[in-house]
Order: sequence, then structure tokens, then C-alpha cells
Amino acid sequence: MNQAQVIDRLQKIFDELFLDPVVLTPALTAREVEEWDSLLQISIVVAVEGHFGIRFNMGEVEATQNVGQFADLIVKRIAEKSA
Amino acid sequence: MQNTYIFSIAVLTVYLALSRIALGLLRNRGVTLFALINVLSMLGMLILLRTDKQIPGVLEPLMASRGMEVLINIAIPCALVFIYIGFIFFQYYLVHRYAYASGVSSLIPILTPIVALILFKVTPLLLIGPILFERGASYIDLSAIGFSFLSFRLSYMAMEVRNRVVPMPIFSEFLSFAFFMPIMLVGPISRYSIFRRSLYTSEPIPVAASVIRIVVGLVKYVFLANMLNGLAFDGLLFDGHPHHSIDLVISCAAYYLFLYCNFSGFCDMAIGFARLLGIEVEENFDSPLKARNIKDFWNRWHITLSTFMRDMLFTPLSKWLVARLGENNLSHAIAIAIFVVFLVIGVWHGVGLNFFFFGLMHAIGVTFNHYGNLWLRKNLGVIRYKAYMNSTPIRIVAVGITFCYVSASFLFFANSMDRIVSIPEILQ
Repeated sequence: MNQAQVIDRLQKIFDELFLDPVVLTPALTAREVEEWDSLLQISIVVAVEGHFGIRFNMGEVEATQNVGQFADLIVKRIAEKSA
Repeated sequence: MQNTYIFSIAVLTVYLALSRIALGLLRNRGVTLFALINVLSMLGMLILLRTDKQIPGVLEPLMASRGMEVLINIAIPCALVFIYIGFIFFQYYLVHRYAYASGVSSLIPILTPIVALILFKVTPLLLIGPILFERGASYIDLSAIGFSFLSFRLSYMAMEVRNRVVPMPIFSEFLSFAFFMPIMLVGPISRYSIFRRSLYTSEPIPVAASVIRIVVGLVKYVFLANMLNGLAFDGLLFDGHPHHSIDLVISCAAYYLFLYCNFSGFCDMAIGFARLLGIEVEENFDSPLKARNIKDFWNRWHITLSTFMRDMLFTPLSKWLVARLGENNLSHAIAIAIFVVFLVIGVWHGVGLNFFFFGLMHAIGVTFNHYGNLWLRKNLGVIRYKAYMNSTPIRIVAVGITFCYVSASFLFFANSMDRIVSIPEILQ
């Protein structure tokens, strides 16, 4: 799976969690979306871990700067899982 | 006092000049020199602060013996500095030994600073320490406060190394960061990744803007904070005279404003000063007085602390709770995590029941916001929720309520329980 495919799947997860629809792009940051705070972040992380069947380490997701980097991290975890 | 100011300015000027030479002229090779300058200036600052120390009357009988005097004046502070520096070296070893280890071992360098902080705070020496040095407690208090920030910065650094956000630090990088003088004493808990990035980029230094930042900080820290302190608890409510109950309200509000000017003023100075060296330090405040609820307040007040707590405690704890309670209970898991986080934030600030109550008030506030927001979103629908969020009258009322709530919570931050209990006697 590549970054674009992951973002495509993330879009569906985000659509369910956000009241106000968000259009995901690799450059989008949490700061640009008013609703996207640390409480909603938990819902996102839990949903993503469940959807892709992966686990993030402490502080890993927070270290990503934008949606693109977040998707890259997911790609990396999926690759590790199947390896 | 005059001498202390002059000496501080002299130390800071020498520090600035030497560091600029190290980082500016020597580039990458200068980092070793920069580390050395930071270690020496930290020791210099500790010696400087010792000059203020006075021995309280309780200890006068002990002072009769020359041996005891030497012990109390020199041995205890030296031992503390030794523990402090020893810990930093030990942490360097742990990061190198365990950061890339597999499994649970990689948590060792992340958790050790936290454990050390807890030991440091509750250890008998420090409980007795403030009593011993009642009037000259600055020395021990100071190292304890500095240690709270240091341990969090080192813990976060270990996590960034483990997650490979930054390469493994070499000794000089580690020392420069651990002892980085501008943020040594009062924070912010600025991240190593940001420190490192600015250490190796040579962008032009915004000298004028940095100096203005320092001046703004100085005005807030010295002038405004002192003025407001005159209306806060020490200056007004607890001045030894009886008071009208309105003075309790004035004291709470003035203390909030005092603390904002004091703390953000210091951070302004630290950020401006670090920028003169070309080192970026994270912002710690974003107009907290504009906060519309307690959750919003913590996004704007002491931001580096709430970020640290979010990444190190809130997120892992929420995930752990969700795994136990099931995804259907996600919102309750988050509420429990919020409670734990704010109680920890409360007791992190100091030893005493009052800090627990301070944390409790914020735990209740943020949990209320959490459930309240879920309720609003569910019952108002998209359009009306947006209208609610964008309404100016609602914002004004919310900001007012938040200001009052935060001011009230600082009653527990500023005063020991003994003092709080004595308030009814003071009020007429």
C-alpha cells in the first residue's frame, strides 16, 4: 500500500469522526482544522490502529508533521507487519 | 540585590558572547565548546544564587560548631549539584544503551528521568531542605524546580531518539541540550528535535526582534508582575489585616494575571535570548486570557507542559483504557485519562494537598468540557454547532466564566492549605 492509498482510506475514517468534513491532503496539518484537537486525535489513532491492524509507539504519531507523514508511518507499520 | 543584578547581566553577556563565537564562527565543531559554556554557566548561576542565602535562626545553635556551618553551607548544596550533574551523565549512558533496544527496555531512558524526578521531589533531604534553609531556600527550591523541567526535557528527548525523529545525540549535543542555560530554570520544556534543527542551520539571526522580545518579557516580568503581585495574595489578602470578601476575588484575579506576566515574561526573555544564539525555543503561551473553556486554556497556557503530558501520558493511557474498556466506551476512557493527567499536572507543580486540589479543579473543568462538547455536537447538529462556536456573545460569556474559574483554581496553586483554611478568619 502506498501513501495515496492510505490517505484514501484515512479519508473514510476522518469522514466518520469529523462533524465538519475535512479534505485530506498530504500537506494538511492538525493545526489547520479547528475540530482536530488532542481529544479527537485519540479517536483517530484508535480507529486507524483498528482499521489497519497496526500499533503505534508512544509519541510516534505526535511526531508526524502532517497527514502525508502520518500516512507514511502507517505504510511503514503495514510493511513491518507483513514482513 | 543591586550586585546580583549586575552580576547576572555580566554572566549573561559573557555567555552570549562566548556562545555566539562557538556557534557562529566554529560551526559544527563549536558544539563542544557550546556544551562546555553551558555547563560552566549553569554552575556559575548556582554559585550566584548561593550568595543570597541566609541561615535561619533555628539553625543558630548548630552554627556554633564550625564544622556544622561548613557542612550546611557547602556540603549539602555541593551534594545536590553532584547528584544533578551525575544524573545527566547517567541519562546519557541510558539513552545510548537502551534507546534502540527492542521491547520494553527502550522505555528505560524515557521513564528514568520521571522516576528520578519523583525521588528527587519526595526524598527526605528535600522535604527537610526547605525547612533547614527556610529563608534561604532559593538554592534547593531552585534545583528542584529546574529539575522538573530538565527531567521532562530529557525524557522527551529519549522518546524522540527512540522514535528516530532525531539521530542519536553525541556527547556535546546532549550536554548542550541538557544544560541549555536560557531554559534551564523555568522552561519551556522545548523539544530536542527543535533544538537540534536550529543548532545546525545557520539562518540569519533576527537581532532586533529578539531584543524587543527580551524587553517585552522584562517589562512583563519585572514591572507588570510586581505591580499585580501587590494586589494578589501576598500583597493584599494575607497582609495581616482583616479584609472585605471582595478582596478574595481581587486577589485571585490579580494572582492569575501576575502569574501570566511572571511566567510568560520569563519565557519571552528565554525565547528572545535563545534566538540571539540562533536557537529556536518553543512558544509556551498563546493568549491564555482569551481561552473560552478550560480545555482551550490548556492549549494556550504552559503549552510545552500540556504537549508533554499529551504525548507521554494522555495518549498512551487513553489507548490502554480503550483496549480495556472497549471502543464503545472511548469517550469515558478519554474522560478517565483527562482526570489522571490533570491530577498529575497538579502534583507536578509541588508537594502539598493544595496542588492536588488545583489539579482536581482543572480535571473537573476539562472533563466537563469533554462531555459538554460531545453533548453539544450531538444535539445541535452541524450548522447550529458551528453557529454556537462562532457566536461572539457566547464567546464573551465563555471567556468570562473561564477567567473566573481559572482565577479561582489559582487560589490552590498559590497558597498552602493552612493559609486557605485561615481565609474565613481574615474576611469580615
